[in-house]
Amino acid sequence: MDRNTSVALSLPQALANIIWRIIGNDESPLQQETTFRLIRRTIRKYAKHLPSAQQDQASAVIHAWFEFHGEKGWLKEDMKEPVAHLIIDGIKNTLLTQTETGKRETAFCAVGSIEPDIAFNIFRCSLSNEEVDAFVSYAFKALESLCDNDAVLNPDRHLRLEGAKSKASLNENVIQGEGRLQTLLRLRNHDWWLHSCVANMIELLVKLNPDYFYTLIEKVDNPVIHLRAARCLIDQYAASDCHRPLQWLTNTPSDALIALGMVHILEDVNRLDSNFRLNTERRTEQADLELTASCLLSGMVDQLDNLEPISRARWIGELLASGISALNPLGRSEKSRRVEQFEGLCVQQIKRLVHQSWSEALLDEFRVGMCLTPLVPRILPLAQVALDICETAPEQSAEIARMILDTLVERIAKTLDGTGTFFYNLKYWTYCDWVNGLGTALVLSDKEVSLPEWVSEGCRALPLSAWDAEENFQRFLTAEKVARFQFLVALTAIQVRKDIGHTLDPASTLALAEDLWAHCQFVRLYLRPAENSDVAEYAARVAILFGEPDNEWVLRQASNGGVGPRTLWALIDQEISNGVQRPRLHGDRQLLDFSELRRMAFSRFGDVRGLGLTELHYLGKLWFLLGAVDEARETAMAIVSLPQQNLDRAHRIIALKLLAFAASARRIGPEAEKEIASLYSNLWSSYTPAEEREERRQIDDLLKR
Amino acid sequence: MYLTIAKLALAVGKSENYVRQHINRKHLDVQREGRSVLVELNEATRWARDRGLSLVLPAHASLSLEFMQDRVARMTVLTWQPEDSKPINLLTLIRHRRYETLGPWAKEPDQTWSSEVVLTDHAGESDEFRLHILEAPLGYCQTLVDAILDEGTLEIAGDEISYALESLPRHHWAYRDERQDVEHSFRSPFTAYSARVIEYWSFADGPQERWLQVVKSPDTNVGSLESRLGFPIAQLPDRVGNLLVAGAEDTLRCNLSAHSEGKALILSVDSVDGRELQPNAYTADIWASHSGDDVVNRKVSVAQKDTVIDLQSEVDRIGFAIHQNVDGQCIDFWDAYLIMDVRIAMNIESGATLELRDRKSSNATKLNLWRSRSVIDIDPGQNSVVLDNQIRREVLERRSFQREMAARREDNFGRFGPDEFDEAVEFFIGLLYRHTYSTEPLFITDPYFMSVVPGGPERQLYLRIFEVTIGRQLQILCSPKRFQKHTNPWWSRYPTIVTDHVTVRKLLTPYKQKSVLHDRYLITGDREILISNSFNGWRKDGVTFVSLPYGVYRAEAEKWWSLGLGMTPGGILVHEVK
Repeated sequence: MDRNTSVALSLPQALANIIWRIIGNDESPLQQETTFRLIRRTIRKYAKHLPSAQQDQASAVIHAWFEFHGEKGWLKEDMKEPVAHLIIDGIKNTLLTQTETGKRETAFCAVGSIEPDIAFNIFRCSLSNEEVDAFVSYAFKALESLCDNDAVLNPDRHLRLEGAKSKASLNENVIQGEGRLQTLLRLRNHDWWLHSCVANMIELLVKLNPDYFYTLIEKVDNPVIHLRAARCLIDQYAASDCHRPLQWLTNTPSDALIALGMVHILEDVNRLDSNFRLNTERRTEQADLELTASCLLSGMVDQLDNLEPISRARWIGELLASGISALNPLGRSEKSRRVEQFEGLCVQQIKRLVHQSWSEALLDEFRVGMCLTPLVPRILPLAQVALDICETAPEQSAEIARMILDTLVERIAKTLDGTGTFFYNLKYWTYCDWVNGLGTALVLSDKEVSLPEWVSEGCRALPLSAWDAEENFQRFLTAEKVARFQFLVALTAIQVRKDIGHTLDPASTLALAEDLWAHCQFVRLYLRPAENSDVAEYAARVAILFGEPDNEWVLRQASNGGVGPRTLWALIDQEISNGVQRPRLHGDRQLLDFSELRRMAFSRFGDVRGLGLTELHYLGKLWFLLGAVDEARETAMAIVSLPQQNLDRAHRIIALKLLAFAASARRIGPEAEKEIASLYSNLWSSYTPAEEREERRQIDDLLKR
Repeated sequence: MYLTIAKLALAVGKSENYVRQHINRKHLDVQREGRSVLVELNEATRWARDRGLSLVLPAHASLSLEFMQDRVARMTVLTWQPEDSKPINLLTLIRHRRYETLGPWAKEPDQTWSSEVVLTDHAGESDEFRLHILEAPLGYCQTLVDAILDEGTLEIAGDEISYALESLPRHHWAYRDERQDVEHSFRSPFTAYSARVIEYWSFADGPQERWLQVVKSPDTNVGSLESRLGFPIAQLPDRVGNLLVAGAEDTLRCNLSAHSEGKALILSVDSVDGRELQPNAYTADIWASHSGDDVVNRKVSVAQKDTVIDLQSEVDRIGFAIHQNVDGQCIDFWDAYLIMDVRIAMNIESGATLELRDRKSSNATKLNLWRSRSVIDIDPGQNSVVLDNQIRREVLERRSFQREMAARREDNFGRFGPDEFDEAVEFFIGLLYRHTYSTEPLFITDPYFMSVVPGGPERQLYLRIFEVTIGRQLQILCSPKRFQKHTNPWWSRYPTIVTDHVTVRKLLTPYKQKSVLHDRYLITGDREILISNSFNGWRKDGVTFVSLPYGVYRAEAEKWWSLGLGMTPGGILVHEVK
């Protein structure tokens, strides 16, 4: 006697037929009653013809199938399968044979409570094809109804903040704001938000017939359900069959299906790349993985050719906004080969679009795509397109460039009115790409643009006056960040101009750098020294590279209040590099007067007591370049006297280098010698990282002298 | 501020010739600007004082033209417009500074007013508050000030704003002092500079009353308004209606900072126009302290850009004052506590709601747990942090001790444990002794005053209270929960000379059986002293006496005593025991 029979025997048939109602109601996302009350109420309602003693007995028997946590009952493990049989038999005997309406959700939840594999087997054994079809029809209607009632997501899981809510839904505005692809990427690991009966039912439906996946996508507009269904479908195929999602981009005009296809392709590419990295010993397999991933990605972008141009533009926008992050899941600071390949594919696709279907609407779609990312707009591919077509289609190129610049203006406006954020960190390639894209756009938008004027106009539109600093310091702080960013874009534009062969204007390059330093000098009244920023250093290097400054100009900067140790070091370092790299250009120019520079630098930074760690670091580098022995020693001692927890390896290395340099020139005293020994053993007692080997060699050479 | 010869003559009640003669005789220093001859206000004051002349300044003394040419001003006007009435000035502030201090990106002043409604829909009133802002050269703003003083109005976009200003201005300084616990009228409206202020006062009551109404409303948030107005008007309602002209003292830009992990103090002084600092032109007082102990207090001559002072010890408060040597006037003052360590706790996203149920009752409490809590500690990484912390702990203990001792000196504070009953009695009797010669009635209020039984240890205390208050009325209020039949108090067995002046009134709520009184206190001629415990609890739990300045209990005691005997309309039964 199997378990099913034993359970069925303990209940009269009339009671066995109502078990699905009890379980269905108990599992229903909409029910509020306790399990115990449900059992009592359902028996009283549907088995009222039975004597009350029998009702009580049946109630006790059914109650014993559950184990309870508080008022909620859960079927015991050994009762799941027997009860599954009772549920499906009950539905077959009542719902599917009679024309009872209004109980679809109960039947849906009852079957959804069964593990999909068990339910699938029982369906196949106990139900005819017609009965399965009838149930599936019920199930789809029930699912639609639950969706309409916002009852497919479990609020305990989705809305942890508001546990009291009985319903949970995804905010449509969010989905529209971030794009469908981004929504799916964000939610792709959140199918546990679904009520378990909904999740199980989706799996069962896809098991019963894979084509039901497409029906689900068509009938139900819920990204979590879509993701669950797609996952179930993918799981049915072998892991090697990763080209299947490509079909979703081909066969249907459904946006949801296209987005799902993209999500799975991007995931597959990531998985293949991850396997590629792990399989370092098997070259052949590696080549296969690389080829598959590459084909998959190019297949995805190429499939977009089948769509309407506007739709293509929209999907390219979504792919650039969200796909790049998906291909860089670890947030690496350097751009991966795969992302480069992907961007190249997108550039080609955009170029085809621009060439074949240029229109205002197309441009609008690109604009929308660029605004989808809240943090870093992915504009470089578009800027690249503008650059590539600037000779063949200059007007279109300029329009794209202006649109890119408009996004910056829009972002700045949103930042200042408090509805957006403005952040950049040049250690990450995504931000560098942003700057490069803007720099390129700036050059292409107007060939005659004066970069100092462009920056000046931008800065004057910002709340950057002393009044603003006093009125709203936070806003001033943000504006200052934006101002420096605009300088960065303009400085990058100089490099772009050179790269594409435009004539450079050295005077405006120098003016731009001086404007930046004047800005730094002003804001230091309110902020930490800005003259030691990345942008200030970059301005110094660009000034030397493209500004053709004379020695007098360089010397004048040494006494410029906006030029701090880092900027001064960068000026001289770049000057020296220039001399080494391009000696002929400087053949007619006298060498810089280092002794004069040293005197001027000493008059400003000779007393190191007022300087912070970053300033000391670059000041040390400056003294080293200038060959200032005593100053180098003093700066090094100032660095090592700071609390040790504030010093990183770079600070220790520069301190050691300065001390070694001083020691190579003269006696430096026992205290400094002790520091050399201590720093050296602290840094390299066991292992020297590759990036520090050159520094160590130089220090060893100095110490040998 | 400068005076023309005509205005100075008017101010001292002499002829212009009289003033000119003194200028020719070099009794009075002047500054010449083209044809104009101007006398600096301080110099004019000195000159008038030396000659015994009373200097009554003209209604407004114009700033010199040259001075004004270099300067740009921001004028902010906060107005209140009652329904069906003209707008009234709530505060007008003109801040002015040199053009070059605005920064490289400042726009040219457009001399155009911008106006917006602020504090809308306030307290259900239909009146309107507006903030008007103008950026213009100082000269233009000065003309507006002149017009306001002459006509009592200012026109902005067709609206005539009315002013009720005193014609004689006050001159004072607003310095930079960033300590939070120091009371000032107001600090400099400039972050980087101290300011000279010319203030025209208004004593009209209406605007001030309305403003107080606004500020006291819990719905009011004036933070953003104040930062745009440039003045902390919510904290300074006395300034409502005034007009202030604040000029940044921006010849020099001064900054003091602690560097290299607190090992050096650096005073940086720059001249704003980039000129070299004149030797012996300025002197700076620099100070630094740690936990109230002076570490540095030095006077230095400001002759170079940076003055570095090595520190031998940690500091947690630093400051400086810059004086111009020509007249000793302090032109910049700054004082601040250093941030020694910061603890930032961030509660990120709340977690599940727990419903906690009392085991014995069905009462449920919902508790929302924080999902994660992140705490960041920032400290300057000083090597002497441990020592510093210990010193701070000691200082806090010392402060606690000092404050308690200071309070005890005036008998404003007394704290006694359960084993200090006798000392508590002596303290209390001392409080009564302090007013032996007063004829005003004394009040003692204690809900359980009648609970003391003659056999208990408090008997002696009561008798001593009665004894030291002989010759005055001792009025005692108590509030037993239950009504008891009239019985004579136990002290009625004692000679009437001791008890005759004692009257006890029992306040009862016969139907609710609730105590009418709650607090215990003593009201003497000039003080009210809160007593933390009833007389019958001193021995068991101790007692604390705190003198309060508010007069709340005095008013309350007088109110209860005035109820009269019998049942009051409020349902309180007043019963007297003699």
